[in-house]
Amino acid sequence: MKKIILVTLLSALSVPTLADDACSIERGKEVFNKCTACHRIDKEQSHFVGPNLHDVAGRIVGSAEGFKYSRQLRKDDRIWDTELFDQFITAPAAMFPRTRMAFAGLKQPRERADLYCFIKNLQEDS
Amino acid sequence: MSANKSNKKTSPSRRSFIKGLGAAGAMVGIATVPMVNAATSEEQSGYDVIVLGGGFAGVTAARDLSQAGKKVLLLEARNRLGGRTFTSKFAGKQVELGGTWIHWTQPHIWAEVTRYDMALTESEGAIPEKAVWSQNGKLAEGSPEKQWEVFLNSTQKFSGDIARNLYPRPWDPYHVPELMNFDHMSAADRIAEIRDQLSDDEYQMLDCFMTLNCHNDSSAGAFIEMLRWDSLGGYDMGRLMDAAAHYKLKDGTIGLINNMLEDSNVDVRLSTPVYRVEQSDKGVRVFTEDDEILTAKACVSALPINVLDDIEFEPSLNKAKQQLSKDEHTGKGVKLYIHVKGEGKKFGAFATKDHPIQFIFTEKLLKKDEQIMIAFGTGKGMDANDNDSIEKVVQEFLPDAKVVEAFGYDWTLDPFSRGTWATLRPGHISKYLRDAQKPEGRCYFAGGDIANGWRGFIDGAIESGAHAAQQLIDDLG
Repeated sequence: MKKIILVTLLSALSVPTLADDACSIERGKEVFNKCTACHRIDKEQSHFVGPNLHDVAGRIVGSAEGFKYSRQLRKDDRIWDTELFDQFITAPAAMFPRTRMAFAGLKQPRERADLYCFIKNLQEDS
Repeated sequence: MSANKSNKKTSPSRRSFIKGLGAAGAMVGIATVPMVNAATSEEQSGYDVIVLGGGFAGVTAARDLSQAGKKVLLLEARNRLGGRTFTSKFAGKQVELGGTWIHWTQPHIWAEVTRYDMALTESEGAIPEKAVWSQNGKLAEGSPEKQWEVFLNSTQKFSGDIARNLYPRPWDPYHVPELMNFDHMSAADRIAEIRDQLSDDEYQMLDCFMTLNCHNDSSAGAFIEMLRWDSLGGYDMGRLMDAAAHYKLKDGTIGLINNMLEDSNVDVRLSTPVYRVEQSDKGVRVFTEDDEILTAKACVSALPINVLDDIEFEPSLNKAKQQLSKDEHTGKGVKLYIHVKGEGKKFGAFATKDHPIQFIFTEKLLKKDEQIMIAFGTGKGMDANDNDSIEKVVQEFLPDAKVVEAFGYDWTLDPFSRGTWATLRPGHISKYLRDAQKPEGRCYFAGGDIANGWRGFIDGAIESGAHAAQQLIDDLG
């Protein structure tokens, strides 16, 4: 109880708290608006310009069934996790110079974390 | 030739085309499955023509060849058609992330609009109620009429009588040979030449407008490219602006692409990048990234000039094509859709050459004090993927505006376009354009980047695709 009161007080004073370190699904949903021109995320929807992202967390890179990736992504066997996603979405072409993804990247760490949080949360919900 | 929709034949390829798109795909310009399956054998033949590139130039060439009785395979590297046009959604509204506007002074696109009976819609800020431009060294609000006066004065001084006298036929830059005496000059060179005739506000407006047109620094684009625009607009800037940023297709550019392909028997394959084209006196062999070899009697390359040198041609292409592709056209800027809160009037603003955004205007008014704006610029000094960065820039025009969301497709990063619309560089028209358009052996060349008239516009792509198809038919029967 004391901990909750402390956090509430700190929040009211607009002082950074532990809660600020956690990602925000809501903000992640807003960031995802930058992805919707090319990506779908609902499980039932097909791939789009880019692959459907509903189960990207924990998926092997370049492995979404039915989507045709560039050769470079097809050959990569790493697994998408928080760190890999963060590295990728910071500057996709820096990680995969031959990527077909026409996106320069998200420079704000908070936005990257929120985006992954949103994607992962949807996946867990489904 | 006319093709009434009700009289169209339904061929297997047309049926598979429609099935491949699906309702959702058709809405936003996406075909998510290939319309013709990849071959399982090493070589697949039987086609008269293989068309490389599914933008408007490639789709036009493919349709026209198909309607002339040729068996045509269209290969597109992306998993959607449209090339540098891309009908999508933003803030719940249909938008065009690439090429957008069309006009009845653009004969080739207008013929298609008429043929397929397509409806128009408008960008609302084409006639603004509120204007901002550089005045006395600062961005400031003023009347739209005054903004237009500064714009007209500066652009008229820029062209002088040169466009009228030396570029009277915008589809033929060589008609008056003296025009080429100016081909070494950039737009910036011309502005410097007339600097003492311009007020400071006119100078800022003009350099901003030329930077906008080049989608790059005004020193990158050729002066005579800008004269071509003036000539295309009939030396009337109002008409030119109407042609360049007012009217668009209600069903989106993808609506026209769909109509054109439904009106043909073209086989279409998406997600099929090509890396090599070999030709002999017997035909062409096209090598895909999936190690297939496709054969045909001839090919049409309808690729952007900025990516043409990604394909190995054997024998090599002429030096003009190689150099034009190596040097690239100038279009490397940004186009952003911005959902803004805090401004309810139809808005139009020019900034300066050095600003990240040269031109921003109302695309659509939403509910009270909210709207979708379109912004064009070099993007220098702004993170086009960061709403905070964009908001700071927008607030230089509208101090109370808040950015709700923003998005722009990065055509320069896209490996299948590596740029936006084409403006050729100083010297390139006299040195390279004619040879860039020339067929080589059994390969024919099309694209909005090498069109004669509305080069860099959808109309130019259609012009060029139609011309390449007719050349091929004339040569090969």
